[in-house]
Amino acid sequence: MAYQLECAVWEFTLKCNLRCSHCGSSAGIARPDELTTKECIKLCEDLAELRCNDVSLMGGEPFLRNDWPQVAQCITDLGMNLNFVTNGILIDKYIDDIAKYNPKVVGISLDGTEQTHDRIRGKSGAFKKANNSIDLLIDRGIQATAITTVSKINFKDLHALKDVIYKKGCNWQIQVAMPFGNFDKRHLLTKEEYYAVALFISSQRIKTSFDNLPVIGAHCFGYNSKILPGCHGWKGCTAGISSIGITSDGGIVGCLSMGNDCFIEGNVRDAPLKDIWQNPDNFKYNRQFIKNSLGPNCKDCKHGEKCRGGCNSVSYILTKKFHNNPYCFYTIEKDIIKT
Amino acid sequence: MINDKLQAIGSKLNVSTQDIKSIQKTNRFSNLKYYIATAIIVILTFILGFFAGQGTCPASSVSPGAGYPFAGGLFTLGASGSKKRASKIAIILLSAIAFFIALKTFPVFGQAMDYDVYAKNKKG
Repeated sequence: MAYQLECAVWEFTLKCNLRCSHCGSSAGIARPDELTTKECIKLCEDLAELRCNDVSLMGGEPFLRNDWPQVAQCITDLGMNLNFVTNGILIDKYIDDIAKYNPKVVGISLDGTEQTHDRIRGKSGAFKKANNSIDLLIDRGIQATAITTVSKINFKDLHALKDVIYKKGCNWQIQVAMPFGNFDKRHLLTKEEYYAVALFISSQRIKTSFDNLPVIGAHCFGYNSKILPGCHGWKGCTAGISSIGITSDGGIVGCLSMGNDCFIEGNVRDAPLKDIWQNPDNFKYNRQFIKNSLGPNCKDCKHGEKCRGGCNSVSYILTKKFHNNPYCFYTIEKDIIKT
Repeated sequence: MINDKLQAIGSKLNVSTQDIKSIQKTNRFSNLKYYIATAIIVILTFILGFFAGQGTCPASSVSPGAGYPFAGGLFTLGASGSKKRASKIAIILLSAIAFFIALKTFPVFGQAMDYDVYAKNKKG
């Protein structure tokens, strides 16, 4: 079966100017042998050859690489959508350049009110920078998405954060912090707290106009709720099916959130991206999924074959198994809420 | 009536009983809209196939990725070419099958997005 690559999320560098307490990549220092500019350009060409739609440059902090404008230019010249995910610290410095490359969207991490955000980011003033960056982007007509990664630390901040973001004109993407990299497992949301966040998202969607504040649960939210509107039809994890992650030293993985080098399928220094993508033995966990692949949490679920056990990175991180995600609306409603 | 446990969970983030009622109401309404819309599509494609079809399918109007309504149209268009009574029964049966296929496969805008950073509109 041929798979069509839709989106590549690229850890452009592991170097970072912050040390966030939930960072799954434990970013800070660049990897010892990150791709050169020439290798990055070649990789962009390979992505275009595979007719990839979206390339998201993230990190670490992508704007810490001096050659980001060349790579951004290459991505847009090749007709692919350019996205950035950034902590916002350097946006004021580069706003003119960013506008020049016309990104589809820039994601800015915004994790709570000023005190909470600065605590998580480990830097005083980080909130003001991120907040200002969103305004700068909106002023330039660039679509911005505030990305909030929720843990016990900022769980209670969501209402206050909504007041900050509301009517800014940006999107709001809410996702769950998972215990890998720097993140301390003790701060992981319980299933009930996770479901409370989902209720919060749903209530905000009903209360606020989508134009004023589009609130979106990230890919780690979901699966076949009987209560929450619109939560049907999850078709399984897209890692290796329509998306890939790229590490800054050229490793190809289904999803960067898997946080484990054993899932690297190949390296663009050793083989062309096309060969890695088209190798039928790669991304086995998803491409060779069968009903029996479902883990104990999902094997008896009536939605199992379709949803394939939810987000595989969450599933693996929490249970050391794929297709076994315990953070699932359907099972929470069945086992805890007892609907 | 709202489940106590659901209320307790909602209260963790100040999601009120009224908010939960509103969520449940929206969910029921969106499900209802979906069923009604699906039924209307089935009926319309049935009528279209019955009156417009001559046993051939206009390839240009067929979207293989879009699934249901077109598939329903195909069934009805194909079957309506015949005047035989058996084919009329086939139209009804196939439309019913198409209806249930649609129920199982029609994509609904979900709360969760795919892996990546969220953007409202695709540029490319």
